[in-house]
Amino acid sequence: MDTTQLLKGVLDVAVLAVVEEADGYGYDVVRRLRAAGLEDVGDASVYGTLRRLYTAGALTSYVVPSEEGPHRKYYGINAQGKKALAEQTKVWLRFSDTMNGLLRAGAEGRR
Amino acid sequence: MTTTTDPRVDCYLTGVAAALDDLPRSDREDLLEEVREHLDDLVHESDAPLTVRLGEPEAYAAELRASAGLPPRGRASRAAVTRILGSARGALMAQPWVRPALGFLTSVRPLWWVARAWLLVSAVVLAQWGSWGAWSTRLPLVPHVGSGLTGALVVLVVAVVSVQVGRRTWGVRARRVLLGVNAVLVVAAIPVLASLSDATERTVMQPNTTVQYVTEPPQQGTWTRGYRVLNVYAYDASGHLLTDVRLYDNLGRPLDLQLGQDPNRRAVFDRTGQPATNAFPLRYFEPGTRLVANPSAGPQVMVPPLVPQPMTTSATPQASATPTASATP
Repeated sequence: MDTTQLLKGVLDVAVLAVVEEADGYGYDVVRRLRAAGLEDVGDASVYGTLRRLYTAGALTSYVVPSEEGPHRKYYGINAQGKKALAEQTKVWLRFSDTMNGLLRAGAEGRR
Repeated sequence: MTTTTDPRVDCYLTGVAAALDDLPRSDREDLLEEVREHLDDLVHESDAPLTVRLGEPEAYAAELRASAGLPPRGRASRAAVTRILGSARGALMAQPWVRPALGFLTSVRPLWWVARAWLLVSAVVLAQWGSWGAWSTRLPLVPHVGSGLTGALVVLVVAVVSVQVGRRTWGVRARRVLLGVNAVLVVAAIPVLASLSDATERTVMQPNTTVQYVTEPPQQGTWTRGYRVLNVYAYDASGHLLTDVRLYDNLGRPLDLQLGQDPNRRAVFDRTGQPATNAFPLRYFEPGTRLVANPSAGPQVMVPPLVPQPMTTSATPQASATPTASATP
């Protein structure tokens, strides 16, 4: 199955989860998502998602100067983002339970 | 931004910037600042070309827009227009009279469906006349397609189609096409109505003119069965051609074929010296002379003598058609 299609639906909650764990800048969030197993995640998609969540008021942002390399724009979660994360987590768990049940039942039937 | 200016970063960033050039300046600069940060990280991390790791700049920009919830390239300006139109519409809808007015317009839509059929046929007829160089001819209320009757039928058929089209629910694209057609017809209404009102104006401006209801053709002169009458020949009961017969119509007007001036036409005058233009048949001189070559010339017809029928007889069935046929008591 094409995981990029699946990712589109869950990228928001995935990014919120990663940022809640610890504040991060764009490429840092990309690397952490990949390290968590979402290897197909697109760089530009993560940057776009961060920007959209920030514009929607779910994230805060601040710039950290650095001596070597560029300034970094960090994102952190706020109360609204946490609330959104909690709701979306619930939705995801219920959805994945349903899918798991459906697919396991199908798999046992085929056995 | 205080950053390294790696040529690979600049090159890629230029491509992304070009693909975002339709966005509002603040959005675009925010996005590009982060993209630069990202690209700097990537070139520090490995020497692999950016296009291998990220794809083409245009694809990167498209992905960025899609995930950031920004409109795809080319739609941004359109989205702005839609937004402005939307707010204007909202302000309009807030007026208390707008909703009743819209309701009224919605219920009279069928009138427009019929009217646009008439408009379409009239516009086509008018365009035809225009291409024949007859703009001066007035447009009848029922457009003539061959005749007024077939014109009315064509309008009826087009009206049925138009109403059916109006009743159906169409998709977005078809609705756009219909909107265009309606707009064209509204514009076409200007010349169509102008030639109609021109006709009424003429009637109003000359109230003393007796309007002659000649349905077809509307030209000057005398016509019979679609052909212009150029001469008239009168034969008496015994079948002999008469010359210099004065003819008058039912209103006592001299029959005038309105052929215009012709120096070769033989002029006839009455005793008072007035020209008698209604003396038939018209005769023409041989060019350059004052002579009519054949004064007894007539059309190629056989005119047999009539059977004598007294005007007061009602015995023969044919005679009942004449108004004087009914016997006096």
